[in-house]
Parts: sequence; structure tokens; C-alpha cells
Amino acid sequence: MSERESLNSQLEHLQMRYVGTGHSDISKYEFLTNQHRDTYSSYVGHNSLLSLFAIAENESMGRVRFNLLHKMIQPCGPSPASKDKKDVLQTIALLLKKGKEVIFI
Amino acid sequence: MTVETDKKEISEWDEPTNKSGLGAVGATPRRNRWDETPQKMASSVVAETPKRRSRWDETPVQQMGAQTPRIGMAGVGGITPLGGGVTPLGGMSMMTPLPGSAGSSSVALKIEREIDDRNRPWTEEELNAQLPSDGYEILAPPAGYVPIMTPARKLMSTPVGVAGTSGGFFIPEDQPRVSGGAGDQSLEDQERHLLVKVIDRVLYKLDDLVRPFVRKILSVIEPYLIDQNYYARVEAREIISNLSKAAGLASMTATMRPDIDSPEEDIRNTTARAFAVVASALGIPSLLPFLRAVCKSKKSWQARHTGIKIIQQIAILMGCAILPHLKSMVEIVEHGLNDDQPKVRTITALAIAALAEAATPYGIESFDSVLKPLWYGIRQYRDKGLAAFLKAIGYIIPLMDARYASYYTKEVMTILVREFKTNEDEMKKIILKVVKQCVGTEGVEAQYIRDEVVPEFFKQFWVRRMADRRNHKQLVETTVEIANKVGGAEVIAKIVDDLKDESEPYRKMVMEAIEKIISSLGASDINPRLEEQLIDGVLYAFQEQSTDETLIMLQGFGTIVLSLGVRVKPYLTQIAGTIKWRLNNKSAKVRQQAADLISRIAVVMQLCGEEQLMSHLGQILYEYLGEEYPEVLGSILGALKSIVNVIGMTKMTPPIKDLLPRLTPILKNRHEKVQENCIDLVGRIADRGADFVLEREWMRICFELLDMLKAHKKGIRRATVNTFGYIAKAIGPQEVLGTLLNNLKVQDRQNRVCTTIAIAIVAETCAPYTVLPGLMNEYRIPELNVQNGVLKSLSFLFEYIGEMGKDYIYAVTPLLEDALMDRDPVHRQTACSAVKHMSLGVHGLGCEDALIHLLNYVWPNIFETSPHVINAFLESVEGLRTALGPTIILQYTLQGLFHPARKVRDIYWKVYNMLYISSQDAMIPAYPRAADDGPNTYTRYELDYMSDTTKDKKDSDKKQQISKRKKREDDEIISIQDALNDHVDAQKELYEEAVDQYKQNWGDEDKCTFDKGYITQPVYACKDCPGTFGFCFGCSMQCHLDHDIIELFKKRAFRCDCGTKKAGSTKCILQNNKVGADDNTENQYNQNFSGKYCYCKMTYNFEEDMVQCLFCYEWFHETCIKLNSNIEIPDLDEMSDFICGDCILKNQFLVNYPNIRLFANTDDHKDHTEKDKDDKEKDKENGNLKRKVDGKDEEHNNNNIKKHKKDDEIVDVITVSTTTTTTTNNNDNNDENVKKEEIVVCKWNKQLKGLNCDLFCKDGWRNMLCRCGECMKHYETQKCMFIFDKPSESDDDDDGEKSKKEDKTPPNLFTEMDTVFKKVIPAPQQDTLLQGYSAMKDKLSALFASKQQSSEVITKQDIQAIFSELAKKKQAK
Repeated sequence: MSERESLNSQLEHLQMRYVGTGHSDISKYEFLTNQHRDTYSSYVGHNSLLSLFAIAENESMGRVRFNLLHKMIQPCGPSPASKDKKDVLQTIALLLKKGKEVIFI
Repeated sequence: MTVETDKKEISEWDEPTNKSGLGAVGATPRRNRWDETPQKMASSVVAETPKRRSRWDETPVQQMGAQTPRIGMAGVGGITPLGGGVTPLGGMSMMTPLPGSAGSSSVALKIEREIDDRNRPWTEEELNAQLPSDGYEILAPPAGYVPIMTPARKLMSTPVGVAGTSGGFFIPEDQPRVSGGAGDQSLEDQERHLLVKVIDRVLYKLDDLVRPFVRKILSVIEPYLIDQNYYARVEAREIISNLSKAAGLASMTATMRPDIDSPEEDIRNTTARAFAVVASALGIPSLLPFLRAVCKSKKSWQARHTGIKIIQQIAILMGCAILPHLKSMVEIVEHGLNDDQPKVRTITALAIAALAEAATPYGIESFDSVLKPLWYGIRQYRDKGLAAFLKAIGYIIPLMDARYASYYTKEVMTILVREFKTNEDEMKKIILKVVKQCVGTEGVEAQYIRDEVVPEFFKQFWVRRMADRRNHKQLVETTVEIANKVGGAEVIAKIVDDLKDESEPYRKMVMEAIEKIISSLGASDINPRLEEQLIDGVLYAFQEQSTDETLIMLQGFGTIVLSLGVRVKPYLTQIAGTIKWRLNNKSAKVRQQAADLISRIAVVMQLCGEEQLMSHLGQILYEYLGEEYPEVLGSILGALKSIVNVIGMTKMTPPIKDLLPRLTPILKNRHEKVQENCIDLVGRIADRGADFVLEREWMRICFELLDMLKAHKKGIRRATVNTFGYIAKAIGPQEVLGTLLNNLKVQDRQNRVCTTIAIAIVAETCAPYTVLPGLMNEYRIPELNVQNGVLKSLSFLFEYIGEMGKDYIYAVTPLLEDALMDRDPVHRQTACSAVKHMSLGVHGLGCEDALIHLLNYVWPNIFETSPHVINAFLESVEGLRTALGPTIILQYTLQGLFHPARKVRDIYWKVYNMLYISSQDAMIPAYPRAADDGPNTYTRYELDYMSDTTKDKKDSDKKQQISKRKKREDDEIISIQDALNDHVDAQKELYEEAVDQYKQNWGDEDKCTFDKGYITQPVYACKDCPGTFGFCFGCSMQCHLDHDIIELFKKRAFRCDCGTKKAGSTKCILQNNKVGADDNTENQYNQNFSGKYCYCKMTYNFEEDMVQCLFCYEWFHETCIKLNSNIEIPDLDEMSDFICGDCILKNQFLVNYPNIRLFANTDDHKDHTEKDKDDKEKDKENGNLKRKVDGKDEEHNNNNIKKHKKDDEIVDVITVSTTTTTTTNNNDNNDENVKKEEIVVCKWNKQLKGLNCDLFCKDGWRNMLCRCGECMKHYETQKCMFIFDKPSESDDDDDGEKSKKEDKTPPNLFTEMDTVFKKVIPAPQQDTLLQGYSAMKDKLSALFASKQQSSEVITKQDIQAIFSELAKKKQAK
């Protein structure tokens, strides 16, 4: 019985390590952000696709690549749950400025 | 105790009729023990316990005294942390507490004792009480007999000691830490393994809650990190890894931090290793900041030392996984090279060496900063420090590119050579390693090595001292590396004489080195003199070897002989003599080695043409088949196998027909090596020389092999299965298969499993179609084992046959369907694995339809919980993914990803993750569209650049219809099925057309409509007859039946012109004299009659859509209208009529009407509005602009006609601006209307001049026409009165109302052939038709038959020949 559980948990651990995999409680935002990021990296990786887009948008390929890479940061806009995180981020930034070590658990 | 009681009891039992014994028994105090209170029992038991304890106190559990009650409690309570079952409850409860234990434990003690009492063995009296007293005799046990009770108890109770340390939960605080709980007692392997499992499960359950216990656990486990036993270290690492995942980084670092600068070396050592394990479990980046801080510590050098050591251990543990963090790690440690403390410097160098080793061959840029310090260090330091620095340099040099590498090598080599003389082992090892690395790099030249390195190297290192276990491996490797650089012969020349050295280990080392050199470089550069030396030395070494470890010599000998090839011929006799001599040796190992040598050099012997020698050897080996020692026998069989392989079946001595029967009994031998080799040899014979042996013999062997299928060793099972295949191929699969299928009903599972494999092998070697029918038929037997066996067989079968499966997948699918729907999960599981193998085999071969069908049956198993089934499901989905592509699987998966039930979501996400990990890039275009959601945009708009989502549905439908009409080219090769399908399709089309046509009432086909005068009727023209004239339907069917007719559909006011003057010479068959035929002048002819249509005057092209003008009934192409108009044409289906430009010209009034929609150009709209107003005003001035049509409401539109700037353009733009409707509700006031109408000025007269455009009329336009007197007169003159005719007579109604009235149903032409035949075809022609048909049929069937016999293809020429024959016959008639 517990073997099964441990097997499952190992599988989950393994799958968790890959960026882009999901789980039962994933949010729509996160799921779609992953999709978008994968899409952009696929575009950047396949040169012929990239050139198609460049032609369609009438931009240079470098520009298209640049745009796509920039969009990677927040492909779907800000996260819906980001409000409370901002405070945390601010405090961390403050601490780092002061030269203190911040350990991320 | 038993002995004493025995004596007592014997006397009792000796009285045969002493029935009072029972009563006596009943009175014994023992009897009453069930009634006694515990205190009494305690007192009675105490007397016993000293004796008992004396026996059972032999357990070494003394110190755990304080623990035991708790354990006892635990045992009583039934909750044991040891779920493994090694410690049985009996043992636990047998734990006797020490006297004077704590008060709280006394109760437990008593309970224990009670249980002990209840569970103890029965005494004689008790037995007497239970058993009957007569009817048997009790025998006395033999003298000296003592029942063995104690050892078992002893065994069972020892693990209790371990229980005390389990989980670390029960370790008291005062336990010394380093020695741990296991210091005094060493855990055996199994116990420790059990410990690991226990802790694993506990940690998994506890998760966060384990934090308070981290310290304790670590204190126990850390010592195992440096244990001798490899597996102990592995398990310790596993525990710490799980612990860190459960407890988290913070608690781990907090716990271990104080140990970093502990004064004891050992603790720091283990702590460093533990930290490394934590890093590998939680990820290096998480630990890096902490390490940075530690390595910069100014408090103590120990802390720095440990920190750097942690980095070293991380690199050793994780290998190339450190690459992403390499730079940061080097940065952390680099300052240590300049540290004051020598130890810190040393460990830094070692850490850098480990990092470089892990990063090979990448990462040289990260090490840039350490090169200089390392450099200086080499010059400066000595001994250990120097060794460490050298090691670091040694590992960094292979990372460099050629130029730098050669430069650095030269610099470092001087120092290395200087250090060759060192005595220290550690230094020697490091130097050897560094030399190897330097020599191996690209830029270093051979000549340099030859000059600088080689002499000193061989002088210093190739000495007997080096031949000990630790060094010799490194030395051999380095030597081989040097040989790779400077050439094999040179190096061999230096060491070959040492093959005759006295010291055996040294000889072995030399042999090993030579063997490696030759196997990598070959023997081509060995001159004859060296060759002699070599063979001489090898023979000497071979003969002089002791029997300890003979593999090296054997290997060396084999390699050398093989690489020398033909050159070894002169020495072969000598070698063979040696072998023969050793085959006779009394030592088994020697004999074995000799036989092994034969198997290695058989190929070379063949090469040298020494066949006679080999036959001789074969004969000798054959005689040795009676060998007793199984190892030797195995080697002999191996040697025979190699000889048989090389000589071949026909020339073999002894001949195969003698050899095989000799082998058959050996199959029964129990020893694994013998079995394997024997089966292999038999298999080889079956493969190549099956004819030499009788079929019966092979069947016998088959039966014996069936048992081997469940051998323990995998090699034997594999050999057996292969041999099965060969035999099946030799004697045919049917009998073998019969045996195997019978075996499926056997109880023994392993047998059944092996049988399934054998069936699959038979299928693979003898083509699946020999096996599959029988196998599938077996599925019908309603026995679970058999059905599962069949399914398993299928699974293996498809695994083995791979692509061949594409021919069988459709046959097997129904069986799999049935299995996948079965109630028994094992059926489903096995069927799933069969599907997996199938899909992997047929992927890419076009069987996707079958696979999707199977996927539909596999998918419902997604909610299974049993691990085997769910695993099988997941694997089959994986297999199907490779065959079908991830898109299809994704469609199935998307349904459950956001399902409300968690159970559904869990498993669906698992499947999705699987998909994602394996084919993420391919799923990009397959993700569904997601709706945007507030501030977030979820559309991937780039993909829409390429997709056409604005398709017009009608266009697409039309295109589909056109594409349906597959036009085959003349020489396109199609299958018969396709041809038949085409034919059927064509027939269907024709039939539908015919039905359509039939429904339309064209008129009477027997009568000419000439007498009816000018009527609206369908008109036809003939291309074949001279002159252009139109005729009626009847004439088309009679007079012009086989002519090329043009159908002109309905025309107004037309009289049949067939046979009139217009027709010229041709007569009308139906009506010969047409009165008044001279002047059918009222018939209007246009270009259509000569087959030309439209503005473009082209002949009829059935693909173009055409419209007919209402007035002149001419046909125009849609496209030509478009071209003419140069403006967008409105949707034709909304328009009810069309009027061509010419007719517009003639009938200008048409242009003026509202609701007659023309081509609207939006640009001109604006300009016109002004004009609108102007005109409006103008008109107001002029009078009434309002128009009315018989009291009906009319939208008052100001029509502004603006002439296009370019007058040349045919089309004018007329804008329609709608203004408010005027509502005059004067209905039916004729007088008024008349008056008003009279006032009305028809606008069109004035403004329309030379307007030439095509006009599309909307529905109901007829009602909009002005009916004023003037206009009506105009209509009459223009002959346009027909406009007012009811639309039912217009062309719109093709198959509408009229046909409904008639209600004719066409006969089903295909089924009522006879009636139609007689009806349609005139009587005289029926006979000819029938005759001709039968003749054709005869001919064709004769042709088909002949072609079938000769299996040729039927060509066009054949058919044409037949028909020309028939034609000739006809002519002849």
C-alpha cells in the first residue's frame, strides 16, 4: 500500500522537476503562461517559423525574436495572485540592499 | 524441565487402565491457573522465571533495559515500527524485563508474563487432560534427546536490539554521538536495509513533523556515510536525502551548522558529506548562499575548510549536474588557494580538481581565475600541497584547447618528471593520473613525450613494487595512454621482457598492459623480432601461471593471437600442444582455462587454415564430454560451440549426428553454466544443421527445453527461447505450437509465462500467420489462465515482430477489444501492454485508424487504481502517443484537466505531464484557444497569421463538391475497389441527375408543339444540322435524337422551328408540314443558338455558373458579369432576376426603380448625398416626386444617378439613399391616383441616356413597377408585358411547384430494369440490345478467366480488342 504511495510520490517529485508540467491545483493563469512560454520558445527555436512571423509582421527577424523574448517574462499579463507577493518582494529587495543574506527556503 | 516431568509422567502413563489419571490431572495446580488471580500466578511464575530467564537471557540486550517496557507495551499494543516482520511478536513478548525495573512497568510485566504463560508449550499433564487415555502407546524419547527450543528463540529476539534504534525515536539523549546507536552492535546488511525502508516510510508520512528529530536521525546516520561497505553509504545517503526533502532546507542547515567548525575531524568530514547530500536533494542553488557565507568565515579556518570540502563532495556526488552552477562554485572556493592554512589550500585544490573532473570536457572559462594561483602553487609548495595542486592542474588541462594545453603541459611536465622519484603512494597515484591526462591532450606531441617522459617513466614506474592492487590499475592506464601517443610497439618493447619475470603479479600487470595496448592499437607495428619475444613471453607466462585468477592471462593470450592473425601460424602447433597438455591437467581450473582458450582462438585457427588441427581438437573435446566438474564441462561445451561455428556443420568432427545425441542428456545437468552452453550449442545446431538430426529427436529436445524456460538465470532462459525458435523453424511450427498451447493450461505461473514467450518466438521465426490462428482460437477457452496466457503471448509477439505487425493488427483488434472490455483487470492490463507493443511496432505505417479504435477501448482504464493496471495503461498511452502523435492524446486529456473532481484531475494531470515531458514542442499548435480574461490576454495571435478562419462556408461546400468528382487520369493506377467505387459514385450522380430531369416536365416527347404557336417552352438547338434553328422538346427526342443538341431551357414566345424554312433542308419527323412555317419570324434568335454564350462568346463550359437574362433569355457567365461590372455583385441568391445590359438599353425604365438593387459603391455615396438634396429640391420645384403604385406604400427613394467620371465605363453607379417613407394611405382612390399619376413625371426619361449596365432585381420587384397609363403603353410597345406574369411561369421554378403538382415519382431505374427496358427502348431495338449485351458479356468473362489463370493484368488493349471483334462481327452480319 505504502509502496504504491511512495512510488506515486517519487513519480510526482520527478515530474515536478520539469518546468511546465502541471498538477491538480494549477491555476488557469499558470497553465496558460506555461503554454505561452513554450510557444514563444518554439518560435524562437524554429527559424523557419520565425521567418514566417517576421514576414507577416513586416519586421526583421531579430526584432521578432527580441519581442518574443521580452514577452516571455509575462506572456499573459500580471498574475492574478500577485498583489500580496509584491510586499514580500519589496521587503526582500530592501534586505538585499542592506547587504544582508536572504535564504530562500 | 521436560526431562524431569517426563520421568514423573511416564509412571503415570504406564498404568494402562488408570483412568483416575484424568482426575488426577484435573487436580493439578496447573489446571487452576485459569482461575488464579495474577498475583498468585506471578508468585508461581517467579519460581519458574529464573530458569526461563537463564535460557532466554542469552540475548545481548542488557543495556536496553530501560527501553524494553516501552517496547513491550508497543508489542502488546500491536503498533510496531518494524512492519517488516523480521521481529515476530513472539520474540517481542519474550523480552524479559530486568529485575528491579520501574514501577510503571510492573503491570506490563505481569501482562507479559500472563501472555508468556498462555503461549508456553503444554506440559504432559495438560496433554493428558486433553487427549484420550487409551488406544495408543506413548514411546519414550531416545536417550540423550534434548528438544531444540532455545536457538530459535535466541534468533528471534536479537533484532529487538535494533528496534531500539529504529527511527531514532527512542534514542536517549545521553547516547554518544559519534558511535551512534549502532556503535556497539553492528547492523547486518538486511537489518540496515530494513532500517532504511522504515525510516523512508516514516519520513514520508511525517513530512514537516520530523523536524524536531532531525538531529537525532543525523547523529545515527552520518557515520554510515564513511562506512566501508558501499551499500551502507548508499543507504545513508538515501536517508539523508529523504530527510532533507521532508524537513526542508532551513532545519537541515540549522541542525548541521554547529558541526561545521567542530574540533573533531571526523565530525566535520561526515558533516561535509551530509551537506553534499542535502545539496543534491534540494538543488545546489538553494545551498549556495549558505556556502558562500561559510567559506568566507573569518572565525575559524576549520569552517572554511569544511565549507570547501562540501563543495568538493558536491562535485564528486553530483557529477556533471553541477555544470549550471560551476562558475559560482569556483568563485566560492578560489580564494582558498591563497589561504594561510596549508590544509585549506590543499582542500581547495582538491575541490577544484573535483569540479574540473565533474565538468569535463566543458567549463574551462570558469577556471580562468584559478589557473594562475595553481601555477604559482606548483612552483612553491611541496608534498601534499603539491600533490593536490598537481591533481587540480591535471584535471583542468583536458578542458583546455590544444594550444594552451600543450603550453601548460610542457610547463608542468618538468615538475612531474622531477617527482617521478617520489616514494609516497598518494603522490605516485596523482602523478600517474596527471601524466595520463597530459599525454592524452591534443596539442602535446609524440616526440616530446618520447624524449622527455618515456625513459624516466619506465625506469621509475615499471618495477615490481608497483604491482600491488592499488597502483597497478593506474599504471596500466597511463602506460596505455602513452602507447596511444607514441606507438604500441615502442612501449611493448620496453616491457615485453618482463613477461618472464619471476613475480607473478608483475607478470600479470605486464600482460594486462600489453593486452590493452594491442586491443586498442592492433599488432601491425610489431616487427618479427618483437613478435617472437612476445609469443615466447606469453607462452611462458601462461604456463607458469598459478591457478588463482586466470582471466587476465587468458584474455591477453586471446587478444594477442587474434590481432596477430595469420602471423601466428608458425606458433600454432606449439600453442595447440600447450592446450592439449593442459586439458589433461589434474586441476580443474587449468582444464577450464585450456578449453576457454580454444574458444577464443578458434577463429584464428580457421584463418590460418589449420582445419585438421581443429578437427583433432574437436575430437578430443568430444571425448571430454563426460567431464564431471561442471565448470569445466561448461567451458568444453563453449569450445565445441566455437569450433562448430568455425568449421561448419558438414565438416565437423565428430559428425553432428553423433554429437547431438551425446548432448541431449547433458541438457538435464543442473549446473547453470553447463545448461547455458549446452542449450546454446544445441540451438546452433538447430539453426544451421537441423537436417542432420531426426525430427523426433528435435521434438524430444523441445519437451526437455520446456522445463528450462523457468531457469533462474536469465541467460539460460534467453538461450532456451532462441533455441525454441530455431527448432520451430527446423521442424515446422505446428507441433511445437501445439505443445506450447497445451502448456498454457498448467498451474505453474512461471511455466506459463515462459510458454508465452516461446510462442512469441516461434511466431517471430516462422512468420506470425502460422501461429496467430491457433493462438487466437485458444482464447475461446473460458479459462482465465489460458486467456491471459494468450493475451500475454500476443503482447510478446507484437513486441518481437515489430513492423511485421502491420499486417496482423486488424486481425487481432477484435480480440483485444473483447479483452479490454473484460471484467477481469488482468485481462485489461495485459491487453494494454499488447496495445503498447503493437503501436510501437506499427508506428508510421498507416494503421492509425486501428490504433485510435483501440485507444478508445484503452482509455476508460484511466481510473484504475491497481498499480499494475494503471502502469499498463500509462505505458500503452505512451506507446500510442508515439504512433498517433501527441495531438490526439491531448484531445482526450484536455477533458479532465480541470474537472471538478480531484481524483479525475490527479490522473489526468499525470497523463498530461507524461505527454508534456516527451513531446512538448509538438503540442504547441494543438493547445486549445483560451478566452481572454480581464487584464490577461490568452490568445496566441501569431498562429492566426497563418490560419484562414474566415472561410465562406458555401464556397467550401462547393469546393468539396467539385473535389468529389474525382477525375482519374488515363494511366492512373487504381485498385479494383477504387474503380468500383468510382463507378458506383458516377452511377449515383447520373441517377440523381436523371431523377431531377425526370421530375421536370419538359413536355410531350411524341408531339411537336408547332401547332400551339408561340409559347413558353423549352427550346433546343442542334449543332449537327445545317443552319441555326430552335425546336421543341418533342423534336429533340425524335428528329434530333442522336444529334449534338444544345439545351437552351425555357424561352418565351417561341414556335418550333424544326422543318421550317429556317431549318433549311432538314425535315421534321414529327410534323412534316408546318402550316405557316415560312415565317416564324417572331422567334428571337441570339448567339446562344450557335452554342455561344455571354459577353465573352465562349462555348458552354459546365463548370462556370451562368445566369439567364429575363428578357432575352441569353445566358451569361457570372464571372463575366463581374468583370464587366468592376464592382462587387450582390449575393445572387437574394436576387430573383437578372437583366442583361442590352435589354436594359432597350428598356431604360428598369433602371429607375427603387428596390431594384444595383451595384452600390460606398465611396460615391457621400458625394451623392449632396446631389441628392439638390435633385430633391429640383424635383420639388418640378412637382410631385412622389410616386405611388396603386395605393401601396412605397419607400421614397431619391435616386441619384451620377454618371461615372469615365463615361466609357459600362457600369454606372447608382446610389440608393433611403429617406423617410412617405405614407399616404390613400388606397383605392382611383380618381385621385389617376390624377396624381398623371402628374407624375417619369423621371427616367430625362436622365437616362446611354445607360448600359447589368441589372439584378430583388424579390418582389415586379410590384414596384409603375403601372401608370403611360408606362403601361410603353410596356406594350416594348413587349414587356410578360414581366407582369406571375412568377410561377418564370424560370425560377425549375423543380418547384409544378413538379409537386404532378407528383411523379421516377421509377427506380436499377430495380425495375425490365419495365423500364421495355418502356424506354423501342421494340425492334430491344432484341439487338440484348444480343449485343450477351455477346459482350461472354467475351469479357472469357477474357477475365484467361487473365486470372495466367495472373496477368487486364490492359486497355485487351478490352479494345474485344470490342473491335464484336464490331467486326456486327458488320459481318
